[in-house]
Amino acid sequence: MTNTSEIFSPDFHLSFADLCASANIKADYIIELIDYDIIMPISGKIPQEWEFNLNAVTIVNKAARLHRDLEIDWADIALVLNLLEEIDQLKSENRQLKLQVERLNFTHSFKQ
Amino acid sequence: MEFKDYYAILGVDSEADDKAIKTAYRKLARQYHPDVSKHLNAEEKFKEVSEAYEVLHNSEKRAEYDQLRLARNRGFGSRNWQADAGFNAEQSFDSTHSGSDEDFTDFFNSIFGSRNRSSGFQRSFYEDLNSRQGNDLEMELPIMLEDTLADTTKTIEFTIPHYDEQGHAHDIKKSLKVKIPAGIKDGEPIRLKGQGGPGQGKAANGDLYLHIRLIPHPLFDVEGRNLTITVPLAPWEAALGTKITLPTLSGKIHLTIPPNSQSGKRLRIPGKGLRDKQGTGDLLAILKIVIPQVTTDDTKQLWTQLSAKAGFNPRTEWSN
Repeated sequence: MTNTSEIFSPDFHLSFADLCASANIKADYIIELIDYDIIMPISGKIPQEWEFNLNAVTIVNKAARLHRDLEIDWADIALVLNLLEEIDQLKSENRQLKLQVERLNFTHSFKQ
Repeated sequence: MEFKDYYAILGVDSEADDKAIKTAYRKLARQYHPDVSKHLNAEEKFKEVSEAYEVLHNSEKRAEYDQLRLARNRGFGSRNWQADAGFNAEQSFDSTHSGSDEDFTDFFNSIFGSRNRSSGFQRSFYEDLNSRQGNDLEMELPIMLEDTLADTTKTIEFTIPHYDEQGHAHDIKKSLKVKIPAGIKDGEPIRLKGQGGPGQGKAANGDLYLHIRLIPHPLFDVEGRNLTITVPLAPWEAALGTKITLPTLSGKIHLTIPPNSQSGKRLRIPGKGLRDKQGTGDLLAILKIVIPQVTTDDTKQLWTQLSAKAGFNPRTEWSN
């Protein structure tokens, strides 16, 4: 059976409580992640006013997995996540540039 | 059910001490963790390694497992380990989800039960385990560039691996219609509330996060919200100028190539790029002069005449 679902598009913002519930992680740990700049609220000065991008849930889940499975400290996780993101960006750019080079090098030959 | 040799999985011998087991786990976990590894089947391999470590670093579980292993090696095991009914998620997309008992195989669950993970981290880090919200699922959703121009609906199918309280596998198959908003970018997430793993007890289901992946287009490349297309031109078209029919994401248009166009020149066609919140980007037509194969004497003669009359030295900068 095919269902439709309640959908939140990329510009949907999560409250602090939403983020804790969605990532299923205690508030104290989320605050620790914020202290280490692993995630940052996009607006609000106190937890009750904080708003987060949807991506924050993915980052929190990834940080939690790295902390749990590889026993990486929070301070190091910030660095690991930054480097992983940079690798992804560079790979994407590299893929894009390779494609463009292939298009420019492609030689058309036809008989007159 | 296939018997799993947890010692072989971690690459340690059966007499290995806790330190050796931990060292072996850390090395393999770094190698195969799905968040950092690009190995093929990294996720499956990591689950296997985690499961082995879960048993071997816990003295009680290790003793129980050693007994079974010994009994099996002597050929009178109390269980029949013949049928291979190992874990098989059969998911339509690559997906990762928060660590849970669902990551473990039937083999583990048949020995230790499905709710028997010992990690202190799990207990302290996550909210109450007994009424825990279902796991979030993350999947990639590949879409065509054309799909980003207007709101689009896609049907996705996926399977959520799930174990009941008794440790029996009951995979949940789902089919969902998902609205993809216009202007979505590569890597952006869409959250589908309640479509992830089932919650325990009265807890809510997890959510499903779809990460958009733009499939490379055979003609167009993406530069921010602009698109580029390479336009092959004959030398005389570049020299004299011409009118061509140019494909765009939303149909064909006519494009005038001005006389004396150099290879690499970019012609901007406004409003034919990708949509985003600020509006619509442009299409950049990158000119590329292509030399035909000279196959007849007539053509060769014409090139020779042109060479003599043009008096053109493309390498004047070198003569200084």
